[in-house]
Amino acid sequence: MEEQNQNSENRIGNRVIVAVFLLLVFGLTIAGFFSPVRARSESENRNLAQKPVFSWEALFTKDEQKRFTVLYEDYLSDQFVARDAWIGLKTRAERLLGKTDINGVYFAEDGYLITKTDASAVDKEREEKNIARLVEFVEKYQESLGDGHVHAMIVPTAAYVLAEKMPPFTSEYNQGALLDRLGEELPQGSFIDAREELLAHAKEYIYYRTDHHQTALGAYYDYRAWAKATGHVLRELSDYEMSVGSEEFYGTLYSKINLPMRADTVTIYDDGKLYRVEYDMSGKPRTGLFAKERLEEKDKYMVYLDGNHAMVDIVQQAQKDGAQTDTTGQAQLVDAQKDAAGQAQHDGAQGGVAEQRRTLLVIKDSYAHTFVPFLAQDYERVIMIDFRYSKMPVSMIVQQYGVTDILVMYNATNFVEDENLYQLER
Amino acid sequence: MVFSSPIFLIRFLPAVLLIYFAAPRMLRNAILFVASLIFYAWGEPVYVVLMIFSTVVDYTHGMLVDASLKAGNRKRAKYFVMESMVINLALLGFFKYADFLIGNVNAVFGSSIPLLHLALPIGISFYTFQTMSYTVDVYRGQAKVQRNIISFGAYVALFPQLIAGPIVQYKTVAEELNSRRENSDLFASGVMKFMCGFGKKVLLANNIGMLWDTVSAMAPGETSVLAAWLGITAYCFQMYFDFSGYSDMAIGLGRMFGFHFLENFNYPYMSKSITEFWRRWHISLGSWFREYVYIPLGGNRVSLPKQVRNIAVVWLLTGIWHGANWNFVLWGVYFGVFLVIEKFFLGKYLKRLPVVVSHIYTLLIVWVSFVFFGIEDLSRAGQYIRSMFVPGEAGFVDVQAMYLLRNYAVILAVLAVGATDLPRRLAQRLLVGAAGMAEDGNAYAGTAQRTVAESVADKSLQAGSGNVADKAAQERSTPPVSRGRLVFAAVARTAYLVFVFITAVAYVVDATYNPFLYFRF
Repeated sequence: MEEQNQNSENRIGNRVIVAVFLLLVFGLTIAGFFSPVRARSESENRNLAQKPVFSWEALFTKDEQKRFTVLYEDYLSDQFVARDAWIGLKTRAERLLGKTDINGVYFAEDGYLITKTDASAVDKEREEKNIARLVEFVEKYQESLGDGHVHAMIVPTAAYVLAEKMPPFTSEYNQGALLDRLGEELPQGSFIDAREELLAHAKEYIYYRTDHHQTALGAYYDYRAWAKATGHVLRELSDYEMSVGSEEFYGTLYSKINLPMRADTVTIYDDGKLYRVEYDMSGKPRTGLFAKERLEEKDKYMVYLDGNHAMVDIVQQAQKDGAQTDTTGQAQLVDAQKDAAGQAQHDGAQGGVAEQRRTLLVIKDSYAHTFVPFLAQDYERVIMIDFRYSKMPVSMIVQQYGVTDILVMYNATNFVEDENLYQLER
Repeated sequence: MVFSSPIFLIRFLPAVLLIYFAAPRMLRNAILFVASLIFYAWGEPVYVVLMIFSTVVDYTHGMLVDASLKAGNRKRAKYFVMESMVINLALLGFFKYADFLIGNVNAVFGSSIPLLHLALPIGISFYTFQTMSYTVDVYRGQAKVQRNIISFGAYVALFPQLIAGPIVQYKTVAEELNSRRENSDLFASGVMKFMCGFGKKVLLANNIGMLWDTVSAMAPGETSVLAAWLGITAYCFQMYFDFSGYSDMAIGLGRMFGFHFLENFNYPYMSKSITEFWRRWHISLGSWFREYVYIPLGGNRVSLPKQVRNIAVVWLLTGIWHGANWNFVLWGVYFGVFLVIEKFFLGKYLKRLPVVVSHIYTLLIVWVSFVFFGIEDLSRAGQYIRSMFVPGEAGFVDVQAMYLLRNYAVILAVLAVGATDLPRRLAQRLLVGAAGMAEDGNAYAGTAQRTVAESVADKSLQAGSGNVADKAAQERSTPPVSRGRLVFAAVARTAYLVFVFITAVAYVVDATYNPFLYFRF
């Protein structure tokens, strides 16, 4: 009797197991059919694979990237029901296991995410090449533009400045050693070291918690280092009009983690000047250094100079009589542009505001986007180029725009890892 | 197609389950056969032709062997066995070893015969070994000839063990091919077994595999002693949990469809000698070589030199079976040497040594062996072994090693416990035996308990299905289990099932690292 009883109990237990298993497998399958197809993942910041079209050719092709079965698996994975939630769950499990970095991002103290750049992951050969290229570049242009007109500012990232927040035993790439070395190898006075300013304010909100960039405040300290090194007038933070762009910013590092986090704040420091900004030589200039409409998007860092562009052309407008605001029509702007261009050609002819007659070329990565708004008013024109997207030779730009000053600005890890710095040689 | 992928979990498996169980019994082998071909074709459609070729050739040879035996012509039967062997080995040799052979010929004679660059058909080493076992089993009278080519095809292509084993000998499933009874108890035990393997592969093996990848990518001179040990330990755990995980998934899937495959791993890292290790590691391969090579050669019933020869042959073959490269040959020879030493000399001393010592001896030899299993370049492997024992520039401990230890200590501890039978014994006590206890809330302890639920599943299988009732009755000489405890066990098993499934799916969806390790087999 007893035994039979147990058998039937077990049998019920087994049936429950079977039922739960089938429920899980079929539940997931069926849920997948009803979940909406997404074109893009905002949190992962990439386009998601779509259902591939079947053809016999696609099935048998030797090209793995185009094979139907491969594409179909990508599609299933990308369109998996509640994909973001699963990824978040995985991250939680990893954290439970005591992992201090996931997907190349450290979990640092005080809710900071910091990009991982392990020393062993840095290509030494490329590092050497990039340093040599920079040194050669600065030397070359110092000759043509004159001493004090060519600078390089390599800015340390959070991994260096916020070292105290990093998890224990990391073997991060040694940014300090790189900056020391650049200070020695670059021509006297051409290297701008922002370390002192940044470290002195390391307790302030100078790096985003969820993004790999500096905040505008962090960039302001870069600016201070720059102004001191180049002998420009040093403006205080209070000289800029501060406004909060968004308090809902979840940056690139957040996207790699997908866990609930405190959002970052995007702050704008406006110098009150009028600028005509043209992106990628589109012929459609816009007004102002801040693309406010970007605050509605996921990547709110794009508010600064509209994010990544091959080329950005910033021309300072003559400040019209008080009442003039940036609601002026395009036509007027284009006129102003002609004026500015004309002036640039006859650079330095007149005395007085000689400072205003200069054109600065910034060769940069996205760290410059928060930085340039602080110094834009010191130049009549600022050209920013990004080697990742622009293949125009520097010499051509220098000649065409009458460049008087050059600043090379990268963050330290980007600088050693960048694959496009060969363009410095052209 | 691999089990730990969305395509398997939310397309293939539900479709096959639905069609299989909706279909009348007489169609089920055909369904399995077709499903298995699709499963195989998913990765490389062209090689399905090979599989069908294998099926037809071995089916025909089975019939020929049988016919010859019935006509009383053993010689002719033997000839057909040989012919089938030659065809199977030619297939394997051509696809797997041709380039290795050409490369070596070129190296020795300075010739420049062009390589064929054939993509290795996945699982070819597994299914050719299976089909070879068939004709031999028929010849030996250990299995009846299979007259239904569809049923035979289902055996050859059977998707659960198709790509990563275990190597199921024909006689093991001969009867079940023709008549098997799927039932909910067997299905449930299959589910638990599958989940156990799924968790092992996705949660444990993949996770620790990243540690090995990190360490093995370090420059040989810059690896500290601690880092080197962490790395190889990670690799040994990855191999065990990945491989045995695949086997468990295969065995589990087999049970869902009514088959009983034999166990393939039995806690190998608990072994106290290399001889014992190989009785517990990849059991189906070991038994295949024993039954179809070692014993036919005379086994250990021949003179001493011949015994040594037999062992040498088996281990050369075992090595090369794992991949067409010298490091695998060396790997096999290495084990062969230790097995010979143990057999004729060391074995009796090992038994007298304290357990700790013999255990360390075994693990040390196994750990070192996996260096040249994992690193194909022999000089690189040599450097790695050196960095395990001789501190180089990085010394005994460096900051990198400390970081890795800090990040992987928890999972290493989980794996170390999971590689023993401790969780299983614990489960037997907790869930079936003594007083019931609340389930451990710790998430990962749950994974380590994979064997827990598995053993419970086994228990309930024994209790549930009729054909093992005698055995179960014997085991239940202990006092009967209370009803509350049975309910508790059922709840715990269900919770375990849900936990592993949900967590593992999360890892599958975000599969930044989900390698298939057996592409060289």
